[in-house]
Amino acid sequence: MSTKPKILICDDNESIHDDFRFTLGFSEAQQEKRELSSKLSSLINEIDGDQSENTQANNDSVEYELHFAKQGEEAMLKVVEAETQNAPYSLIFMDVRMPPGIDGIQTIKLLRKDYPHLEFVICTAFSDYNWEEIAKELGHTDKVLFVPKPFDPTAIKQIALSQTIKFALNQENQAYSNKLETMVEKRTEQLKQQLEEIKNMQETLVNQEKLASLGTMTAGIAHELKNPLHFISNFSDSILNIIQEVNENIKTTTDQEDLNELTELMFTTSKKIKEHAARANSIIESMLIHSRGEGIVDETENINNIINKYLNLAYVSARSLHSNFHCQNILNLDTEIKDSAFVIQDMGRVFINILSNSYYSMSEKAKQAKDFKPRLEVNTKHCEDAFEVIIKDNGEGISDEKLKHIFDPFYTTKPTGVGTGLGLSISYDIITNQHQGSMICKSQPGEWTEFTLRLPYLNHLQKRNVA
Amino acid sequence: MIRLMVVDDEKDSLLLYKLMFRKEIKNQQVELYCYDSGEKALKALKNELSGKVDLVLSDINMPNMDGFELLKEIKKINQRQNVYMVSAYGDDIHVNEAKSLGASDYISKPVNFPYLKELIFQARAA
Repeated sequence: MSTKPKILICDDNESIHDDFRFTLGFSEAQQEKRELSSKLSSLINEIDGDQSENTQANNDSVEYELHFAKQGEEAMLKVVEAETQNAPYSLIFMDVRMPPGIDGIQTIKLLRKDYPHLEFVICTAFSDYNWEEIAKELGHTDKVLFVPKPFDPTAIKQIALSQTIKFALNQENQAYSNKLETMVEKRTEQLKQQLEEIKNMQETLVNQEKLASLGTMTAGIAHELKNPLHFISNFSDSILNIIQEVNENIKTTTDQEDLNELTELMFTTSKKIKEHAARANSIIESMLIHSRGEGIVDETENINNIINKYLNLAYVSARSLHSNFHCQNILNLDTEIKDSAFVIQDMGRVFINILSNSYYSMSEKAKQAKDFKPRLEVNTKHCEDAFEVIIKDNGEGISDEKLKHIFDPFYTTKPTGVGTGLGLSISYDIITNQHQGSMICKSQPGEWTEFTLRLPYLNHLQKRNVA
Repeated sequence: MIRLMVVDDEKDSLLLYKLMFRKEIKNQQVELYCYDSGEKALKALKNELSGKVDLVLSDINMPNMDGFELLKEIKKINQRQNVYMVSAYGDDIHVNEAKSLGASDYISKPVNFPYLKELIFQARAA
């Protein structure tokens, strides 16, 4: 690309071309030189018959690269060519009337459609258009100047200088903002990528967390199942041993007492096998409940009714488990509470889990302190868009250290076989995920434990993802 | 006569040992002392059974004093006391911890009793 500004002069009058050559192309000293070389070349032309018109192409002292066109159509072709070569004109001087082709205004109008950055100077001797008409045709723009003929050479020089500089500055400005835009686009793209990476990392973390909890669960299941299996496998072995002994005894002795004892042992052992098989089964069932996710139907119900039903169930079951256990159950159920959507069995499971823990804890405390009076209090409270259930027992309480882990799967403080450590983790999942509520536990070790469930009123439960 | 102490919070576990060693107990090859908590077992080892137990078989997962704590306490009283840990935990972490605390062996549940008996009688013979 030339470092000189390119100027296109479009005029049907060739003497005007010469005026521009004279004004923009050469200094006075150069002019003499030009005249001489012009005469020389015309002489040579006469001798050679060569019609070379290009007089300024080899002149390296010109400030501008001048191009000429006689018609609007020709100017348009030159502009298109310059633009496609990425060497645009800095300025175009445009005559108005150029018969037989289209006039200068139409040429400018057409060119500006595709090349709005071009700078024009309209030159005309007679007003086919006045300024208002030109403005109407071309729109208000800083890209078009109006110069009346005949030219003042100094004015033309000045216009050429300022307009070409303006063009160059605009080009620079455009290039700079293009560069900025590219930078912004690039940075935006980078940010998008980073965001995508963060999202992927989050997903990976969630998946790893799931895998980790799956690992914990698998280890838990393995441990939980190995205990009953230990009994099932060894008690059945011992029955085989006893049967062998019985067979020997039948052959050798007739001692009825021995036989009775052995039969009694087989009976006890068989019962144990059945018990531990049931235990293994209940572990697997609780696992299945823990991993369920679909096909659950929600129903509209009042939390007070659910509490009434399941508290009774939990208390009956606690009394059958812990001999001589009695508890004062106090219910303060807020009648302001409205109906809400629940998976009723799951909410029931939450209450069974919390209440059985309470009853277990109070029954353990009762074994230690003879004058201890177990007391369980359940309060419900309506609060605008949500409701609360507060369950407080006066059992053994939970130490701060243990309190941190009570919602962890397989965390239990109960002896092996009594607790699987899944109850509260399932309950937490049911309250927080399924019913979009919150569940917190406070305790004073040795004194009391209190669970607070806060649940929003819901019309429907969202479909949950299978964990 | 081999004197075995069994410590397990599951009462059925103690019943199982009695059944599995029925013959040996009857023939006075084995004497069993059963405890359902680490505390009770430790108390007995400090008092009435002091120096009288050949081998302790202890569960790991027990409320309050667990098997590892019991093992540490036993080693404080008698560094040479033989202790086998018996547990449903089959992972290396538990096995290594048991060994590092001075357990002579680690038996995984479900317990293979013929193998356990062989171990016990071999140790006795050696």
